[in-house]
Parts: sequence; C-alpha cells; structure tokens
Amino acid sequence: MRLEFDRLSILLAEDNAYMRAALVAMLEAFGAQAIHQATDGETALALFHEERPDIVLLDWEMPAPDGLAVARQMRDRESSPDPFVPILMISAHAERARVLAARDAGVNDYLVKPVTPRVLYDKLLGLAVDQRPFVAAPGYFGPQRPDPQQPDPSARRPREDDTRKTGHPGDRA
Amino acid sequence: MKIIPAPCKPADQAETVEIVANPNRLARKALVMDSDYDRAATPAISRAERALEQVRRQHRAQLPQFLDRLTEHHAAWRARPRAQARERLLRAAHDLRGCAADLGQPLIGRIAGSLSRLIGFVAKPPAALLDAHIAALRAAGRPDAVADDPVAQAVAQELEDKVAQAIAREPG
Repeated sequence: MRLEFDRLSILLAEDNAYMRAALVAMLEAFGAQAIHQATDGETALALFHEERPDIVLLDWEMPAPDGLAVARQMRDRESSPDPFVPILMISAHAERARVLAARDAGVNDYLVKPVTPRVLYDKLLGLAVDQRPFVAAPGYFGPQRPDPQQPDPSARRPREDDTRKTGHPGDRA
Repeated sequence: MKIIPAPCKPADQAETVEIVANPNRLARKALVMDSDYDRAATPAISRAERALEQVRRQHRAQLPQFLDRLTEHHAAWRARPRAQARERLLRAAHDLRGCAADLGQPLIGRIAGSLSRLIGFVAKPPAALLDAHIAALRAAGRPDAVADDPVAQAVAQELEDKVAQAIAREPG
C-alpha cells in the first residue's frame, strides 16, 4: 500500500526554521506538492480554514496558540471545517504526560523529534490506514483510543450508522 | 446518529458518549492498495534521506546562532525575570533540544533538554543551575568540543541529576 502524496494538501505548523525545512524536504521527497506552512498557531488555524488540508502536522511548542490548543480547535465540532482531519503532533517532548495530553486533545498520533524519513513516512501512511471511529464525549472529540489487546485498531471499518456505548472518552468500548 | 447515555449512572448524571464513523477522507483520496509497502516506501524514504542531509548541511552552521540567542535570552531573564523572558528562554532551549541531535550535536541536544525541563517544571529555577547549563552549552558548542568526551558526558549527567532533584522538590 502507498499514499499518493502528490494528491494531498498538507498543513505543516512548525516555528523552528530548521525543523520546518527538514519536514518540507522530506514531504517533498515523498511526492507532496501542496504544503501549507505556518510558524504560529494563529496562522495554522487560518490556513486550516482556508485550505482544508488532508493531513495536519503540528509542532507542540510554537507561538500562541500552541499545538495542543490548535488541535483542540481543529477537533471542535461546532467551529471546525473538518473535525476528523488526521493530526500528527510532532514534538521534542517525550514525557508520558505530554503524550497523554496530546491524545486527550484528539491528535491521531505523536512523533518525538528528531524525525527520520522512515518514521515520518510510516506515521503518515498510518494516518491513512487508521480507520478508528471517533468518540464524542464531554470535553473530548477525537479518535477512539486503541485497545492494547488489539494493536491494529484500523482493522474494522465502522458503518455510517455505527453507534455504541463506551465508558470513558476515547476508550474502546 | 444516536446519542447513548453511558451505563451505570443515574439518569441525571449520565454522560453522553457517541461513537461516530470516521469518514477517513485521507484514505479515500490518496491511499492506494496496489503495491507492496517496500516497493513504494524504499525509494521515497531514500529520496527523503538525501533531501534531509542537504537541509542538515545548510543548517549546521547556524547552531552557534541558536546558542547565541539562548545566551541572550538567559541574560535578559536574569536582568528582568519576567514571564515573557522566561518563555523566550524556554522556547530557545526547546528549539535547541529539538534540532541539535538532528544536526549532529547530541550533547547540545541533551543539555538543552535538561535546561528546558528545568525551566518548564521548576517554578523558581536556581540561578546557579541555570548558569551551569548555559556554560555547559557554550562549551559543548565550541568547534573543538568532542560530544562523547567522558567529562562532557559526566557534566551532562550531573546537570540532568540536579534538574531531576529540583523537579522532585517542587510541590505537588
């Protein structure tokens, strides 16, 4: 399987010039042509509304609002043009609490810097393969959290009318 | 789409949790199942590795500027310890942490990571410990510095230990 990167519109929000250049270089090498770049959260949100990207790559630490706040706004079903957009958070923060906070903001996946081409490629492909349904609960809208017993949560494609009960926001029923 | 109250709670406390099908626009638009993974991934990743190396070469020379900026932010915070100055220093340390290893300076990345933890998790970081991080970063950034020098590694370890102790002393 593969992603046709040349068909994708990608939003990249990263304030560090080197990291931004590195990510753009890798994405272009994969074949991406439409890469919309932002260096702060406000511009990222504006581009998100204007360009309706297929994938969002978000740095955590950037001028306000930060990546976490941006992810929350993108997941806001009241105001977001695409609350289902796949979001990959990229950060130098490797602490567990940070990763959990990103998950609770509704990001699909988390990538710790430094970023290698293979890991980036796999993560992006993973976003497309990820068919987890979304969970809407008080204070949370985002992908259903993976079941640790089932490492491939994308194995089942939900039906349009798929509605089930769950105990906690994002937890698998 | 139905909204179902979560079970095991009285009706007036019930949280509504809804499972919503993921339209997966990305897969529908660009996921192709016609080839095996390696056939598509290997050349794309090889191209990306070459492109990344080119970017690294262009940016390696900028590391001293990153260090200069960090030192300036540190001096500004020491002179006027305001939240904005602290935020600038934290961002500079975090940036360095994020890119130094990628630019072939893992020791700088390690010390910058320790510094960003100190600023990020300790309400009133000890000035001496901040100074020690800045001095260590300047030393590690010298052209003749050797990243795997045992003394340099011991200094980095000592700084990390001190930061861990400072974080452990934080209330809550």
